[in-house]
Amino acid sequence: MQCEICEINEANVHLKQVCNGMVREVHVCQECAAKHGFDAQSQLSLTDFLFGVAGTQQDLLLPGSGKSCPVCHSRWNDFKKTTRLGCSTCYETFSEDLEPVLASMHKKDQHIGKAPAGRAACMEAAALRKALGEAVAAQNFEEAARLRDRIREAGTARPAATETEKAKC
Amino acid sequence: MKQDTGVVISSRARLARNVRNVAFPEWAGEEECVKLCGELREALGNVSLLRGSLFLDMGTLDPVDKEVLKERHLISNELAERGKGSALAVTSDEGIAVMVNEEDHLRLQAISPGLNIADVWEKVNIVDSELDRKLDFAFSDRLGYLAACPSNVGTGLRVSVMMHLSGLRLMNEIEPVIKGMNRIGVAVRGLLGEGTEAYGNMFQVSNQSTLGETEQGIIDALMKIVSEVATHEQNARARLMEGKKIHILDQIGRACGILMRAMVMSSREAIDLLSILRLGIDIGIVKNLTVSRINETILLTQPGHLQKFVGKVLSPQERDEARARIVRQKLGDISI
Repeated sequence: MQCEICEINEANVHLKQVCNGMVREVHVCQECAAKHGFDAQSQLSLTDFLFGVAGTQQDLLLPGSGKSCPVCHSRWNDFKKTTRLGCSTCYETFSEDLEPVLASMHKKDQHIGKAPAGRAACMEAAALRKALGEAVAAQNFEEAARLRDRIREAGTARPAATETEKAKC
Repeated sequence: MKQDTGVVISSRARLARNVRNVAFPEWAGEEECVKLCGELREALGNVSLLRGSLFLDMGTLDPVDKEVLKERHLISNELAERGKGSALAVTSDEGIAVMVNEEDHLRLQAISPGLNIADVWEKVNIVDSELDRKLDFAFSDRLGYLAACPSNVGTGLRVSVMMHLSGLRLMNEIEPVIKGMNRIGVAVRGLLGEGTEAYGNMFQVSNQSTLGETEQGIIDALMKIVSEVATHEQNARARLMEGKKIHILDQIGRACGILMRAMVMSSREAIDLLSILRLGIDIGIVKNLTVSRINETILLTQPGHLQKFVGKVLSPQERDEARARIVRQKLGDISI
């Protein structure tokens, strides 16, 4: 079997791990494994290697390095060990670190599905306001008038927002 | 695609949801989990589709009961390993099951026999919308619903279909089909979800990515794949009957012989052999046996159900003996 990274050498490092119900397998040569930060003798989880979040092993082995989440106080190293975050605020705290992780897991980077009821209305209003600004900038006044009417309609059609919903916006 | 082709066994939809600014279960302490579990129980109690549900606290269930719930696909290994502060809410028909404080605060699941993805999605969507009025779900405009593992952000939706792919396995065509599905972002797992071991040629096919597609987009894409795989399976079965009929008859005959005569049987062996009989029913070779009796026998011979049925805790050797006995009883009058 050929190494999946260099596609030249024989793969002699075979890794398999069940993560989040899915089995990830990698077959690589020793050279590529070392180059990408995997050392079979180390304490690091295979997940670091598979998800490409290993960074430098020394960094991982330094306890307490890096910032911590203001809500749950978990650190990025905690995520590296478990591939799970401490709370929803961690997504903001570790946003830069999470980018490559999210890119390896998902093909796209913008949510377009369902949203909580209050949030959905806010998102729609924000999208309409953005489109209105663009239409005005482009001097497309016909489109701007149409968008202005839609914003007004949305405002009157929607029941008064609750305090929670206002807070979410 | 028709629902009665014998290829699609069941459909499932699950949504991952979390409460804003509350530590995810793995990071939270027991006290925090217990407090949130109480709040979530109250919110779940007001959901119309969950009226009259059982609420089972993982801290009070014994290991055999947890095993039974796992075998019925109502809880995961992870929830079974948890104790106080984690729970399951399940409707009496087992059509909706909500895991509380598993990997995420809430895992809303709907399950249905056959190919019913639209139906199971509708159910979890209703439960989610009703809970949304009571709870402040963690959500970001860019990443959608936030989850403990970044692999579940976005819609938080995983739709899966359990497929019986014996024809493709017997024609040695299952590997390229699985690889093809993996290449286009579809996950294929075994019967029990974790790991890839496909006992009884039963495979769970599900979407991998949850971010950047609408819920309907995810469902449509999976439906298309399932439909294509089901067609491949039907073609494989037709080719088996044309070119390898004696081989398939031999396999079914051998399965029948072992199931009806064996004195000791592991659960893996029972599932594999019952799967061959299931194929025999689908292609009209096995008589006096229904798919529902196969399903019942598979469930009854799993370790947890077996011990419940016998009424006592059994050693692995005792289970293998009891399993063989139950299978002989259940399949007593089949013919081929």
